[in-house]
Amino acid sequence: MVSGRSKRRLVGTVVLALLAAGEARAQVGTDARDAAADTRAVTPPRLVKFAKAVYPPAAEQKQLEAEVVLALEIDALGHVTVADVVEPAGNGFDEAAQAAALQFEFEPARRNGNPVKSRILYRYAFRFEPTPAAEAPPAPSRIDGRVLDDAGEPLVAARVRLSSEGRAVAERRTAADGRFSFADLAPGAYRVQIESDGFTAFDTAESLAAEEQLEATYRLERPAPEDMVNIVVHGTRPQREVTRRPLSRRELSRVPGTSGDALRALQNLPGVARPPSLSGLLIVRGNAEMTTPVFADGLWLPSIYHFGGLSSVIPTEMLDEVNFYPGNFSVKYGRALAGVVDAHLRETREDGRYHGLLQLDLIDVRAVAEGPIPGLPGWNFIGGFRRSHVDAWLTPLLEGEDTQIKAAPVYYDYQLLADTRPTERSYFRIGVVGSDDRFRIIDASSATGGQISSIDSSWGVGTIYENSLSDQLSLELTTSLARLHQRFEVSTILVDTVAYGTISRSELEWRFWDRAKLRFGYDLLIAPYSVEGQVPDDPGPSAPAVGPFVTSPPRRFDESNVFFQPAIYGEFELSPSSRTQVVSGVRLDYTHDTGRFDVSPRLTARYELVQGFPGTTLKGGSGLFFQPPGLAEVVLSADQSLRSLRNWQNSLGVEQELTEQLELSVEGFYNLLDNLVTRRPDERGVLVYDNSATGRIFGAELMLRYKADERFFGWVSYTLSRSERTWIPGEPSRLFYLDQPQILTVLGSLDLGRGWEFGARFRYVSGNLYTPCTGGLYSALAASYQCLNGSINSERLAPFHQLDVRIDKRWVFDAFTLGAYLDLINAYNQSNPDFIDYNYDYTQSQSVTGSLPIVPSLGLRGEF
Amino acid sequence: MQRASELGALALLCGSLAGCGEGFDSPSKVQGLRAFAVRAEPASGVPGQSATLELLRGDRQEPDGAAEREVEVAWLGGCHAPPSRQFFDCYPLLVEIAKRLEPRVLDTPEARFPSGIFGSGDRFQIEIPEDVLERSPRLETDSVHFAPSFTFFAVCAGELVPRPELTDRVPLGCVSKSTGEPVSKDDFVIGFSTLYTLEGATNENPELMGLRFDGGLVTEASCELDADCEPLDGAPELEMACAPSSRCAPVVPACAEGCPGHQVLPLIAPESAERLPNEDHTEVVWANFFANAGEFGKEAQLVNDRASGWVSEFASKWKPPKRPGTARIWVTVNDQRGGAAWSTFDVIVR
Repeated sequence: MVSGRSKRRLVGTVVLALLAAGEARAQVGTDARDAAADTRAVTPPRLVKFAKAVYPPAAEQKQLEAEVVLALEIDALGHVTVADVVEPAGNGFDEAAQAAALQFEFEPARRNGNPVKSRILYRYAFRFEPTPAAEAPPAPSRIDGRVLDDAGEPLVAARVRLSSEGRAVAERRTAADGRFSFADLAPGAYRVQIESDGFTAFDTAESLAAEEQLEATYRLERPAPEDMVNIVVHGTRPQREVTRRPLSRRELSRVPGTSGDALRALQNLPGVARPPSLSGLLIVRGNAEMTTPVFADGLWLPSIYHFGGLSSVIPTEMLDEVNFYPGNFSVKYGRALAGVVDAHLRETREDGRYHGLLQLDLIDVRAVAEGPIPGLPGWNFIGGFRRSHVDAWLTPLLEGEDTQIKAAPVYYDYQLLADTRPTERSYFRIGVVGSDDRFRIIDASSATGGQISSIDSSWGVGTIYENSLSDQLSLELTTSLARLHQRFEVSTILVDTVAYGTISRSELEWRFWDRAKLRFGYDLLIAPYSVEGQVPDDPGPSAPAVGPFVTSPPRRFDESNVFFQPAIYGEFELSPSSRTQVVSGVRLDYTHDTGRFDVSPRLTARYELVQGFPGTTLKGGSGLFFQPPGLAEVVLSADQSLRSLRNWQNSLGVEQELTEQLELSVEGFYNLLDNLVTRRPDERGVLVYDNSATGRIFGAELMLRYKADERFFGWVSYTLSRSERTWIPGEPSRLFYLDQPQILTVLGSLDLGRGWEFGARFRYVSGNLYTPCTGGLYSALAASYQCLNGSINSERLAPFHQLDVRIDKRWVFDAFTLGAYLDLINAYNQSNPDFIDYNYDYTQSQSVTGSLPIVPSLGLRGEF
Repeated sequence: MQRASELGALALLCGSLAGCGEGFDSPSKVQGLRAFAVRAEPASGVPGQSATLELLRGDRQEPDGAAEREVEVAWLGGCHAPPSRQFFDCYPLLVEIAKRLEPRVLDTPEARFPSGIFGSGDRFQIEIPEDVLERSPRLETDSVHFAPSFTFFAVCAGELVPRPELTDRVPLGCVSKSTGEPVSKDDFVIGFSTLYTLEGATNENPELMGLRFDGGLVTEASCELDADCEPLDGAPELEMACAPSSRCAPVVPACAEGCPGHQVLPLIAPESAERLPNEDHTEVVWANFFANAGEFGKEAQLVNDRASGWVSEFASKWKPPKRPGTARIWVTVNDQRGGAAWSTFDVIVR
């Protein structure tokens, strides 16, 4: 990441000279002399953080210019401890220069590699520039950039064109170091287009505030698009959340053990627990399942994985970026108790050519096509289709004497997007996205078997419109209409839901001051639904086991209603200084199912304790997060007395840059939950649903990350946490069944050259909790024993640990690229327990693994 | 509803991938004292009327000529329509009953309690209160309003003793008559029966018309000599002999490695799968197979599925033991609302 800076208007031109190194950061070099150090053995200090001097008002009025030579003493940490005036200039220049120089920060001088104190001379020049007329545009902004190739090497003589509102502004050729610069720019929206022979044309939009100096690095990709995603690295941009963990497509597609699946890679981030096998759940910071929604371009995805986690419903090739917010996220998002995942589908390429991709692996086959739409100038499309072929190998595995495959397990998904830029300031996309999973088998070997069938199908049409209405105003609008059909049936359980959801979100951002923004938005969900089915009666989370569901009298429902959940929000972002950013917001949600309003005030703040490199940022947040009760709870409670579940999230952390590529993030969190839905006896002893359960989750997360460069990416993530619930007021709190105190992931991927890449991932996770059975009680109704519960969630399975390795090889030909990978899952064939199995009368037990044995997953991929 | 998905995942996982229950002895293998079923007559309660519960139990194989073990059976009842409709709400009542039992439970006179509260033996009569349906909470989402009556029982190859200090389970224990120490798990079974009283609906016990053993219709003919036993209808080639229980029994060779086994097929009337109240579907019906020698390939077989209907094939194969003797085979049929039926026969292994 390259840091950005803003200059204040009409501060005199700064002239800086580094004595020993002679490295000039401005236009005038000056004396170079280091009186204290032996230059033959010393690396000079290097300025990494510059501070502006205030132009003395009296001197400015008289249009005086001056140069002040300072002697600076820099300690071994790079801080300026002394700034003596060697050559004074008077008229207030000396004091101004001294004050500014004391805020400088350096990479310290080194002797034989070790940081040492040093003393250097500076010449601080004040150059007067006329005050612009009142109607003159704001002080110039600038873009300083660097263009690199996919190996990270500078691209020489690349053509960089800058335009605004359809008009060319300037054009540059990159220098030998790949750098270019556009100075004296008015604030506003710009389009940056870069071309270089042998590389795909690059096109991006940038927005410049007054006095903003944007430093950006652009990577141009070769025609093979998969490896090097266009990653625009901006200067410091405000984060609206305390912790956002963006992952680039390269990282997402190369994480070992995920077969290149982007959303499965999320499970390697801090705070994300290992879900039970085949559950397909996303469990964040000790919260319950289904409390971290996943959005694709702002639209909610009801199911993110095919068949409980085989792969995600949106292929990696269609994604640009996945942002994961483990907590304390913006008021833009709601109806989520834990975190948020916001995936961004990628924009089409605008190089005027057609591209295609075909991939085959153990699970599925997929194809992607992309290019301009004939007859529609300015329009491009990207379309993808994927179908599993697990039916080919899973069917024989499942089919047996007592099992009939009525419909083999199959999934498919598809995406078709078309986009255009109606104007320089706007972007429009329309798309269709859908997925379908289904299977039907009959298992006659037990009373609880019978027909087991599942349908999880959805499709939707959505649009996205973005417009930078002016330099201060921008607008986002997303709308979608989707149909969702979920059906699950096993023996006496049936749930069949059909919903037609209209989701609309919009946000207007108003930058009314250089240091402040206001955002207003709405987030509307209207979904007529019908749900029918029957489920066994659930006596509640603290009740003893009640035996097989097949003999539990079913509770039946057949209801049609409308999810109507509108929300509005406002957010104020303030940067009172260049170090500080505070985002406060409030969100108002209405839930028709409960007839209640929820108000969610939220506050986050970031403070750059140390600016520049190596930067240190403190961050923290606090806020309320609500989530309406689940459909089943609403339907079964019938009296609509339930309220939304509430989580008061608090977090505090620090981000520390260690090297240019290595950064460390440590964050503590403390969540207080209440209004959790439970089922317990009322005063008559009748079991009722209510919101009386509470909980507490606290812990710390650590992430040591090597940011992706041309050779390597990787990270170490570790979470230490505890998650407790009190299901019935007055009862002692218990560990939540998804509590996983320790989660460690170490992964990395190294480019070996010649198209080879090797990656490995190791995971260690505390074992899942379970409730032991202390014996069996024979139920004549079920003709079987049922567990006599011991203390609930009092035992823990053995820890989970697993190593996955991945090898990629890519061959680049003139017209296309061919790739292959081998994902070796569970490389040392560890058998990790997933649950405890008991014999028929609960007098013997053994652990059972649901995870796969060593599995080599081979994939082939061709693209042009 | 997420839990439903989890159940499905678990079902798939258990049924197909990992194999739950593998590594344990099959539940069909009877190696100690076991309860197999409780049949109520009538199979659903009628307010204000009584119902008779009958316990089917079994025990390990004894050497030919040896008497079966003496067993004590006690019943604790009177728990009708607890507010939660769950059996564990009955524990406080059971504790109160246990406090009034004699130190040797079966010494307690049944007259100490009102009818349907305490009893002994394989049969027990309970009284359904007139207002049982009114007592039960009425929930909109119930497919039919119902009231459960829970009756608990203990089967002990020793001496039953009260354990009123056990407040979270059935407060009865079983000790050795000779040592007074608790008996092993194979000598003590504790369980409960659920009888539903349904509003505007009834349930019938499944109709088990008979059993076929290797195609032959098993009879309950009594005998004194082998010559008293006729060949089975449908399997004239099957040798028959008189078992120590004085019932005619098929004779099969002991099973060496790789023997094919003998098919046991319950003959169940399709009408046993009754239509569920307020639903087009029929109830789940299944069969369980038990033997105190040898082993069944499948201990349970679905007979009727709610969604896919009648299962065409629900026999199970029994593999005789390696050692000669007389094996007892129990086949029970259950429905999802508490109905039960059973049949038992012996097989002589030579």
